[in-house]
Amino acid sequence: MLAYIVRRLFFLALTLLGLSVVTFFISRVVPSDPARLAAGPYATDEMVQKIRQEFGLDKPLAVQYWNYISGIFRGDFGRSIRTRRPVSQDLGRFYPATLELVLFSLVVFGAIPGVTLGVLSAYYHDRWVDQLVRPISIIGLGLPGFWLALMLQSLIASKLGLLPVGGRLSLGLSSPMSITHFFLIDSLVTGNGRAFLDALKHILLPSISLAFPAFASITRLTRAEALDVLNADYVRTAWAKGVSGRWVLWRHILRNALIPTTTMIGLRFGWMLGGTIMVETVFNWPGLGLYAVQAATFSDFNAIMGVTLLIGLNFGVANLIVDLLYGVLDPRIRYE
Amino acid sequence: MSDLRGMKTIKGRSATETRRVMRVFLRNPLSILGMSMVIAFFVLAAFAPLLVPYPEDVSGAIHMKQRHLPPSSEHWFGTDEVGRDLFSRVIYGTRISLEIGLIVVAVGAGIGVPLGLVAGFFGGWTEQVIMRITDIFLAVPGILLAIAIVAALGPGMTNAMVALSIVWWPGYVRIVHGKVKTVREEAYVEAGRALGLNSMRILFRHVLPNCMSPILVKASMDMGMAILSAAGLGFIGIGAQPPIPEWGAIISEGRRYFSVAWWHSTFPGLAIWFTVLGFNFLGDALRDALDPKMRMQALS
Repeated sequence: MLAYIVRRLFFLALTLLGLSVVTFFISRVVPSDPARLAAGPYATDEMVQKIRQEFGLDKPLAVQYWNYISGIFRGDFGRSIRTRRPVSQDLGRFYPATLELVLFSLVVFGAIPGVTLGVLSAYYHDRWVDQLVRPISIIGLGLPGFWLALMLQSLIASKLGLLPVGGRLSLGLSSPMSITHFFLIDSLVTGNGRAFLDALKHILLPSISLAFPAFASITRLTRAEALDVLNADYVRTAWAKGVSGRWVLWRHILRNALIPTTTMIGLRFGWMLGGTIMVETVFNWPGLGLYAVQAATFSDFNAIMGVTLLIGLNFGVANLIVDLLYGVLDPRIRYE
Repeated sequence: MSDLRGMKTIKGRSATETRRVMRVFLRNPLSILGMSMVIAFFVLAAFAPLLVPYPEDVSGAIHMKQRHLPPSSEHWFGTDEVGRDLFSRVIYGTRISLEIGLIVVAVGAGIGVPLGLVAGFFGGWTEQVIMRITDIFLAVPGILLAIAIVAALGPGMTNAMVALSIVWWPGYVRIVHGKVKTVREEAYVEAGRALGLNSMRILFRHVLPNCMSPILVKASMDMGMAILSAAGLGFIGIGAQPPIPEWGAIISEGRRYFSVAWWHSTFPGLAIWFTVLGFNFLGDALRDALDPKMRMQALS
């Protein structure tokens, strides 16, 4: 098991190294002149030359890559052309906001309702629960997250004024004392009720928009898997020996249907790291997605590369956790 | 002898198998719905220039006297901030979105399928190299990599298509690679080898046709996803640029005016939604008919 984890981490490191080559290629080789792009359309030749020197763009590509990658091992992702701060500092600031949004959204509005409704929908196959859940999960599949975000923001926040229009916390309210950098947890731990409520109000709409497609696919998959399990011999046996309905539902059906669903939840975590880019843009959520979009419009390549590598790391770790959870849910699975 | 009998089925499905697929496909109401929606999109796209009531509004026309008129019998979807007919723009947008979807999926499959075939069939270091490179591209959400590429190339619809195509192929490598690994062990492939057919012939004439089901299903699902991603790039301002009537770009334009003109962002959003839904239904139905064991992969 430990050997398996170590081997997976080794491969993850190799993949991230490969990813750094790809992003380096994209940022330094694809643009004809990255310095001019970064300097903007009105920059004079001297300004471009200055940026070229400042960011080491005048050196051979191999040297530039070596400088970049050796920097990363020291925790130095270079400087952002746009914010003028070290990228590592920016990432440290925006990463917790994104992680909080994605995790909250995935757990509260994706996995929990998705699994619950999926199992119930299968258990009460063709009854009203099923007939209500099925269309919702089908409709959710194609729903553009950024458009849903915009609609919710315009209707519920702007028009009805029920929830905040954007941001992570109201203006004038200071952030709770930093422990985990997740506002919801920090405010709760420090007993700051006002900040907790405010942070909760801010996170609701972005996380619903982000979670809806995930909720739809988790529901659909759980339902389909649970239907398969319902017809399995061991469930029939359980019924036959007089086990109570609730016990069969949670002990047999849920447990077995959860194995493929876990993969789906892991995959969806990865997708949401992508989807959060649009949702953060709509809600002005100060996370990695908004940072990446602003970086992209400014040709701020160090920032884009930093975000890409950090999200790649999250993606890889999430996949590893999913594979390990497999073994917990299904003891028949062995790691080699 | 049994191997030779196996050879007869290698060129694809037998007549009874085709009938079974058709029966399963047509039995599902969602497949009929999906197919009708997709056909409708293609018809709208093909005849868009003839169908739109105000062709000049598709590009940069300006009618300042009719800014942000609500939906009416003259302007079914209302008008935008410079008085252009949104119905015309959204209908024309079908053409743009389908074009983007087709190109991205064609290029993605065009690169990914041969790589997957080669990796799965030959194995060894060829497989290792191809699959590790694929892993790298699958290590981050495609949309993020696409944003990075567009940032390097500069904003615009063509560059957005290039970027999406570059991030789209790895999914095909993975799906084809997996399928080839199982097909490779089938009796008819062995028979082909025993008969002395060369590898390329076995690969493209015998292995590829047997990998078509997952490719078709994925392509249908991907049409919707590619359109959605392109709209996302348009929405954040680095995809199609105004006045091109691309749905994501129109939503982005209308965003500022929601309080006075809800219709501006609403209709193009509905258009994206229905399009993605249509391709999803079709992909789902194709999967149920062609390859019932694929539920998990397609849902992901």
